Amino acid sequence: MMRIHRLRIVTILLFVAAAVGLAALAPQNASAAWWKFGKSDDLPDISDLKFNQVNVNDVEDHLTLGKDDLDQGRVVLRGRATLDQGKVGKVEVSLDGGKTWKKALLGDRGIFSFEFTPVLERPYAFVVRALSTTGKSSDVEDHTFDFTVSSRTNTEAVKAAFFEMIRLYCAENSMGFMNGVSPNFDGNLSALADAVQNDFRAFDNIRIQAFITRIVEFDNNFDVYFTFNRQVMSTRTGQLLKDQLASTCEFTRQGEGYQLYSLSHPLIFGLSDPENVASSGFVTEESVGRSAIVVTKDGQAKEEVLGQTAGQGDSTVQEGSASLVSQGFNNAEGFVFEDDTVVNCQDSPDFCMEFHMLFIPQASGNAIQDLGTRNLDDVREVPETGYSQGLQGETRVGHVYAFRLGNGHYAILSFSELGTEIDPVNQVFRSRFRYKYQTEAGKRTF
Amino acid sequence: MKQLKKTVLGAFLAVLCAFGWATGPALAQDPADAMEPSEIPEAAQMQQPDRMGQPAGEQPAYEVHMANRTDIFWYGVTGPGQASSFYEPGWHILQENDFRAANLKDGWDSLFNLNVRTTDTDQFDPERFSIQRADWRVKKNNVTGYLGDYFANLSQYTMSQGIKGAAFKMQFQDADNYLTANYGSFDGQWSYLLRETDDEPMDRYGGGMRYQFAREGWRLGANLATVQDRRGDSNRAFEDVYDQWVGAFDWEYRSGPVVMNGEHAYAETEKDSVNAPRDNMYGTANRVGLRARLGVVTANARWERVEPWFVSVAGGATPDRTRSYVKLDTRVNRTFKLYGMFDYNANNIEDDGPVTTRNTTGELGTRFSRLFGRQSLNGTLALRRKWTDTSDDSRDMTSDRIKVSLSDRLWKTVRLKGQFEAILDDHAFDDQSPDDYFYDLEISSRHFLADRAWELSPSFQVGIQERENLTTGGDDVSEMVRAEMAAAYRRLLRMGLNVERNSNFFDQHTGIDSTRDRQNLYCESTPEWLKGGRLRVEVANNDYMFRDPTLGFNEKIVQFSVHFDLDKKDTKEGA
Repeated sequence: MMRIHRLRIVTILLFVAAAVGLAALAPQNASAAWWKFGKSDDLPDISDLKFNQVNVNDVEDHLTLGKDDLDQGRVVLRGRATLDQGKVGKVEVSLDGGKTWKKALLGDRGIFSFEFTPVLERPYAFVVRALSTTGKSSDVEDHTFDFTVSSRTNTEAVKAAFFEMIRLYCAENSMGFMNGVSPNFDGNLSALADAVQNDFRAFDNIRIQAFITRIVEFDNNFDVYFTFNRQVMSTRTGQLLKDQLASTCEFTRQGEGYQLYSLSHPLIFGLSDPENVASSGFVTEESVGRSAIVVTKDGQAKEEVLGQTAGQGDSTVQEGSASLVSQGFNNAEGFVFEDDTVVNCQDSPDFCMEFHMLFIPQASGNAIQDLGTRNLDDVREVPETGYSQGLQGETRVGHVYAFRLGNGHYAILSFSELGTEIDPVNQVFRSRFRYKYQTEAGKRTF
Repeated sequence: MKQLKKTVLGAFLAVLCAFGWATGPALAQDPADAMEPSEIPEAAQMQQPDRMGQPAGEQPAYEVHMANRTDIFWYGVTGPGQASSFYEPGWHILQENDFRAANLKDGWDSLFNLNVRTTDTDQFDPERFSIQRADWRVKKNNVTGYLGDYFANLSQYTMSQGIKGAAFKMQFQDADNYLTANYGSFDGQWSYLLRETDDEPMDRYGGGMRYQFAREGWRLGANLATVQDRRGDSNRAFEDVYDQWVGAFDWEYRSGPVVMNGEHAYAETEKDSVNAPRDNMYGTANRVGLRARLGVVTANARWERVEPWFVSVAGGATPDRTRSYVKLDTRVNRTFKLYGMFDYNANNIEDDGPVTTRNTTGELGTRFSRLFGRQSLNGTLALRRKWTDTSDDSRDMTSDRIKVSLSDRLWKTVRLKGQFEAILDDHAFDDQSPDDYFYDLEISSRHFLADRAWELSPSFQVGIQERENLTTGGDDVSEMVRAEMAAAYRRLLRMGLNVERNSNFFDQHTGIDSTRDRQNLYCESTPEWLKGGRLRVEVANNDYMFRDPTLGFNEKIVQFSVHFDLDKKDTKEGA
């Protein structure tokens, strides 16, 4: 397989050629007075501008309305013209960039309206201006933009935007992806950009198949409820990871289409920094307890069962849960914190479970101590001393156990289930626990 | 805690009563047609008398609608790495049906929606037959009742959640003065509610109420929400169990070009972990926003502070976070706009955690339109600096970004769009300085033939992204080339061919190089006899190639779709 070096060169050349070409095509009468700005205080001002129910106050260059934005095929423009000193005489609207003007209906307190029936997919150059009784005009540049009424509905446009984001993410096109994110993104926009980059470092060959179950409009934003099948390949281990989850995200109207406005847990994008990317701290109800692909703080992709709390936590703490099974002394499972993996007790785990008892392999150099009945999340720091090679007493549900590992790292865990007999015939026992592992050697905080 | 709860509840009820007294008698009006008080244009009312509420005694028209969407797929997967394919080989079906009935009973404005899905594969749904949506809305005068699927939206901090339950909304003078309440299950699937399934999460119930009072230029909202998980649920594994209530006031003030809004919330939460004593958490969350046009400057500002133990199960708030955001825009002239943005956020706001992470972003940019007098020549030039650091000095990152984009239309039919972006000196990990570059070029055009009967839309896009490899210092490169030719005949027939290549190459084999080639051909028809429905056939070929050839595989996809609607409406005059 060959890298397409020439493709890159061709792209750059095309880009430069296009820029130079456009500059050369420029007419000679370009405005030179770029530095002039400001306006007089006695000019009329236009505010509260709406096309039907769509707020168009902040439209920059272009607005695309969905056909369902029309009210019986019509656009009713509503707004307010005000003037501090004097009186607004009339409000005019142009749909051809100011070549022709039509008078809007002006009511009390400067409230005006104008109604017209646009043709689908036809571009209009919209301008609105208010004129004082002395003939002074509002700044038309504040409310000049092109607009089109699409033959698609808003729901269809949101759907298209959603699937385009998935396409760009699967193509690992992080910058193209970020172009589809609203500048007003409800989470942390910078964190999302970093998280997407880090996602692509943690895994490749991304496949996402999403099914939209519902699109709900609220206040001109659209909540998309969806389920998705996802498959990625961990760049570190080469392991194929899969999950099937439900989540929601939100799109907002932005110029020519819709842009991503917020994301919820479990995340479909930006898995590397869930705390800063997701707007809500809670996992979408339907996905609680499901296994999901996550990226650990040290950049490793893996599968993890979703809880409900997405707390802030320490950025160097790796969290997880696991289930260990034992069948007799020679067929028991243990756990390696660093790799978040369950291994056979013969393969040098950090600790081992036999029936309902916790053992530490002597060769590991690990040590443990019982911190008593605690909530795992309440343990912010573990002691520096007081560890021993084995537990001084029974292993108990509800207790938090602190580990000082041979590699200089610390970990804590708590069991929710200990030695449950799941197969009486073959004498198989199961234990389940949740843990936290400090990825920074020597650091005792969690 | 209980005393505090009573106090806040009392305050909430007092405000409700005060608002109720202030609003006076209820008036019957159509909520769909009313607007915010500051934006009620009398002139518009004059123009649209037929839209300002349904005259008393007029009977709404009935309507029955059924939509059918049948998609039949065939997947063929071959190659040594076929186990990695996403698809389950063979024939599969996805059948979805919508049923909508409106105003079936005389004198009642009602709407019933039902959506059911049938499939034979887990790929589309773990359930073979499932109800995706079922809801019923009934409206009489100024009261609307809801049953079934309902999007419960009170305020940001209290509730923004899809539920299966019941709700009502009582409207007063207009759509901005109302009382609403809801309660239901948070189950995502009807099968979770109707019967126990293997993959069902723990049961969670919740609801709330909101009273909104608005007058010209301002509005106030009072919200109360409560959410409970079912303790002892057999589906519970390691999940924490929550029992909480959240109270919040939100407000908005408008005065000409100045709009301010905010929300102030308090939450009390009992958290019951699997193996730990019950934990009581209290916290507040506050947000304030401002949008104003002050002379030639438009300002957008937001500030938010959420305490570490403020938890909102049904609303949206990230605990232990403070954020300040300001953006200023100004128009220099007809061509140029300038903007500046500052964004700061940090966690560990009460300094009780081990590490505080701070993110600061500053951006300056210009947007230009109609450059050099060319109507369609638009673009952006933006410079951004971002700092991330931690209180324990474990991270200290600075990155700069430059972004340039340019678009124009040539000969009226050809649209050209180019973009370049570079992220430089990104000290993300250790002392390495990875630089990322992105180039994208898109050319598309639109042509009409045979007296506009045919429309042809060819497009071509090429994009390259270079990410510096943090391990090796070399570049990981992603390349994308896509060409498409779409044709449409009088909105009756659409067809297209799409050819695409996506490649990822990793420096020094730290990742698994891959290339995906995709060809896709589709034809879609909307014959008149289907009355708005459509038929679609799509054929696709996906080739996945890896550096290690034993991972490669090929997918062939054939899809047939039939979508059609059936309607029956009352056709009587005035309905």
